[in-house]
Amino acid sequence: MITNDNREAAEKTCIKCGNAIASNKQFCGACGSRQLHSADAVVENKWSRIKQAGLFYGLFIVLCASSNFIDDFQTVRWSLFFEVALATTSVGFFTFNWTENNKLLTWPDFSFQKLCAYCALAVAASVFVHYSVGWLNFTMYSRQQENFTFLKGNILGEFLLIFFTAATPALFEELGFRGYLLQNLLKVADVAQALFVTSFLFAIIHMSFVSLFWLIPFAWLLGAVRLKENTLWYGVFMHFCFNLTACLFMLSGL
Amino acid sequence: MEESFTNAARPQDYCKSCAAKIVNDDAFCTTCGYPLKGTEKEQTRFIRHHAHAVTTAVDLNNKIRRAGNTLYYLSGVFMLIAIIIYCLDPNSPDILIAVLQLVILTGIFLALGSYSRKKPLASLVAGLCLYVIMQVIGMVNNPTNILSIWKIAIIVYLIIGIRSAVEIEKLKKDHNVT
Repeated sequence: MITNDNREAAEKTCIKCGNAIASNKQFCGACGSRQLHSADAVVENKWSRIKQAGLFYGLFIVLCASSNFIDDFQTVRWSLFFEVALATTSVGFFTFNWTENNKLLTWPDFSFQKLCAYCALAVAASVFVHYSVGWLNFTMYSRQQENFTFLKGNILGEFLLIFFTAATPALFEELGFRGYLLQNLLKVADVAQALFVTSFLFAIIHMSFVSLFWLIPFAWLLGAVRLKENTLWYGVFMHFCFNLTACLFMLSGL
Repeated sequence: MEESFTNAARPQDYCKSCAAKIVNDDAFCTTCGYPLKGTEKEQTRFIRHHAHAVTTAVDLNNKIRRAGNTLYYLSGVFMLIAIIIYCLDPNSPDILIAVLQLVILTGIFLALGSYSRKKPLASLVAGLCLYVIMQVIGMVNNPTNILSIWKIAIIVYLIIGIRSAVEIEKLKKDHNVT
């Protein structure tokens, strides 16, 4: 069936009849069956995956909009409730697709030097963002924007500030966005589109115009590190270092 | 589909469905799956299915284009609102912040509209999520904010565009249509 001219290109056999087919052909010349690759087989349920990702993001939108914009929820108790709800959402969706996500929790080729380099990059980015956002806030709003003002006067205020802004977002946002969402979108679109959508959605969920200019590149960086290293942990530590630096700036009042 | 044949190549050397060159004694075209040695009935049925797939692809492409146009429409609306509110009260202390935010939204939707011509799935998902977030924030102040035929129509158009972008990928793979 295969001529001498294209015998060199015959690198696969038909999935149905076993006939030799040139690797660039989509149909078997002997039985006519379409040659589904393993990636194509997964693609069959693309729309279901998009609906599932839509449910995940819809829950995030409702929770984040409620905690950010409804005055009655600006208390420690409600903030704890929303943190638990967001964490539950991330963990729930991540574990729902456990068989394809669990490998992201391993840490292959761990390198302490690489971890330090990534964390240093995150700290440098946070310092740059702190001063540039401070300047932007002052230019646009003639004041610095303050977050978590309800923690002032709380005996555990500093601990809670680090908990709310550094620890839980680093772990659960990575689990939700670079873990579940990016992994899900990689089955639906090519790498560039999946990375773009994840970064954009991560940036706009923070619901701040001023922060968009640094959130999109930062989310893209975290996504690229996750894809390059094939683990969530470098991103978790980077995210934690970034947020902790911002937190320390807030506490020191600089 | 149509292709003129030179004297050097006989008509039977080409697939009747996709015009790909047949280089060996295959029973089926390896490019589109056309039954080269099938009965007339089988060949007619294949051509009919393929023609239906092409028509469906044209329809899906139109839906994707309309959804992309929705992003341009949103960009224009935000720019128009920015101009109107600035003209109504140019001396208000918060006017520049409001106008700047609308200009940023204009730029984002314009960029997404442009990106939708190359990568429709990513841009339509991003545009839909941004628009839904804006409406949810609007609902915090006014719970009936979303109850507008235009807002619902925009969301529906974008969802149809996303679904079409997914379906056309499958169609391209199954029937080798563009």
